Amino acid sequence: MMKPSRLFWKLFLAFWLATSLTFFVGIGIITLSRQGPGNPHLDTILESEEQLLRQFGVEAGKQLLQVWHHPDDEAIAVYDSGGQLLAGLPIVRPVFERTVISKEGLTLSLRSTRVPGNGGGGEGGPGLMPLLIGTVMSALFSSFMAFYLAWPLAYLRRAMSDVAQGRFETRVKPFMGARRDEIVDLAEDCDRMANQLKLLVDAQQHLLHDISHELRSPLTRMQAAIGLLHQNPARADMVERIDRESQRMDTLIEALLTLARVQGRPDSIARESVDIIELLHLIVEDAQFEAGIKGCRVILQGCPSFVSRVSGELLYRCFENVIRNAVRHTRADSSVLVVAEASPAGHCLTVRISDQGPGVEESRLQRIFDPFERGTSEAGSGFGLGLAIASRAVEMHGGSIKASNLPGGGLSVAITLPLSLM
Amino acid sequence: MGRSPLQEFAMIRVLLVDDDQELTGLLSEYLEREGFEATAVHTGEEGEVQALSGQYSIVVLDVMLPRLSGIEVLRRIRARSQVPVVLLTARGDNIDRITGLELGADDYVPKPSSPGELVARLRAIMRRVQPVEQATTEVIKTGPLVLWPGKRQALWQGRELGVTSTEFSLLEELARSAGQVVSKQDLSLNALGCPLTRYDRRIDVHISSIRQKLGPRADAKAWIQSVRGLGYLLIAE
Repeated sequence: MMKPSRLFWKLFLAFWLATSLTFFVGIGIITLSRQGPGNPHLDTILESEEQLLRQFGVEAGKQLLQVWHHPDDEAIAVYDSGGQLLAGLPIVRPVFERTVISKEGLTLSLRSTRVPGNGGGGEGGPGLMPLLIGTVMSALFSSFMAFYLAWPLAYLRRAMSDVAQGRFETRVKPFMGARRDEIVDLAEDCDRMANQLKLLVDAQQHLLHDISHELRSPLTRMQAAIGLLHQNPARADMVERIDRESQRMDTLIEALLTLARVQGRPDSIARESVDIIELLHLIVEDAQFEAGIKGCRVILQGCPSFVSRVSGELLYRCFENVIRNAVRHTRADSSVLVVAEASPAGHCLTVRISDQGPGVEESRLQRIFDPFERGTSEAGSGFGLGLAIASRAVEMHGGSIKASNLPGGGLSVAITLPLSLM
Repeated sequence: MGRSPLQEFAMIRVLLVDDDQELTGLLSEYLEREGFEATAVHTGEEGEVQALSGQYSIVVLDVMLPRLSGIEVLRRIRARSQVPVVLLTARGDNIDRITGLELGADDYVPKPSSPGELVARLRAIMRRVQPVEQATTEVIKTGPLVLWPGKRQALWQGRELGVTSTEFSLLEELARSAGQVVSKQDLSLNALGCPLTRYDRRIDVHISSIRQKLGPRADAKAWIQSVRGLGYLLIAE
């Protein structure tokens, strides 16, 4: 069981004070209304009578008892030492008797039908007992309320500190039982957050693992080449080999840095007015050269222009990666088709890049946009970062990217970008 | 794993299992210049088949193979053969390393490291595996254990004990000084052929594997006792 928290004590004191005060004020009002001025209490009268007798004598005492509107069951009388009634009504069987010396020096006997201060005959003023019961009840109620509100927070707090220490598998919801309120909603949100964080951290770990593997491969080959060079310093071709591997590492690091940049927040990119169709023309022209070596062509069809405020550099890399990927995988002597179409209202642009290659297995279609995910057939054709960068760049612009296999064979990648004016 | 007399004089045949074809090309070339005969395959499935073919004296197996992982290939090889296996593991990946040794790998070489390092490890293992000629008739007996270092054969409580060559060498070292503590440094030098490095868990992992194979004693204690800070001891009785 958990130790009561500060919050518990605060809530407890607040509730307790509030309920106790209400209770006391209520009791106070009831008591005051009982002691109306026309019906002074027997105790008060008895005390006043004694004072009057001492200070002013029998006559004054007599007058007070005459004006007192006493209830039927209450009476006060003054007798002298000889048993003669001097004031008030005669009392046959006095319950209370006190001897008073009057101003005149007479020894008088003050009698009443009730002992003063001994309750109101069952219905007089409130006693100590109800006060005690009220206080205890309000304390019980307050502690229950305070506990009910404060305990889930202790679990939430523990879960949060678990998350802060990297234990993302922590869950608060099961501790909440059948309860349903805003605190439980908060617990659910907390669980969701922990889960999201776990996915994110796992993805990062995975990426880091892949990166180190990718960097390790050229490094291992470099070490092997260096070993061969040590064995036989005449092997000049090994120097070229080492050179090639170091360039490969440089390219990989460059691509990784780009990937890191597109992992940022969408509002972190610098936007400028760019005609995306013009951008596509530039990329297609460049890709034409590479395609020519394979005897392929890249054909661009589409609308005359689509000007939007985007990051020209990121989109350039994005389309370049997808188009070069298509050129790499398309059959020799075939063509890569790039079709750009603006929606009728001009709100978005869809660019479809289709090749005539082997396509991708249906199960891998979604994963080709993950970093380091590459076709098994093509060895050493790239790091598998191009499509990942493209996908993230499109997402940063609020667009979407989808891959699908064409019915006649080949892969088609559709990129949709919304028009942005700001 | 029977060895025909012809193979005693043949070159050491190394099987390289790694999906990086450029690397295996370079390594094969390096190994051949060092006097080994190297063959490379690039998938785990092929690696398993070739390793079990009995044509190779030693297998160099990459842990990071696509699809069928190196660890799984090792598990399958060990189910049927005690051919020496050296793992190529990612530097800093201790889990693969320990799992590999527990599954019966003879040694590991982190990637990337120089091919010279790999050759040194291969030589150390082959020195242990290839018997020294004059010692073929030697027999070591201690308690229920009988060892023939020449044939690299072990009998435990009258039954054949399936141990890898590294485990055999460790057991041999312990049996030679049965009842006495053998330091980890000596075990490493004499059985693994290389000095002990900092945080080196290889000896401990191999020993725990041997312990499992020997089973507990009648008094529930292990046959091989670890003596903290000193080394290991094989109970002799």
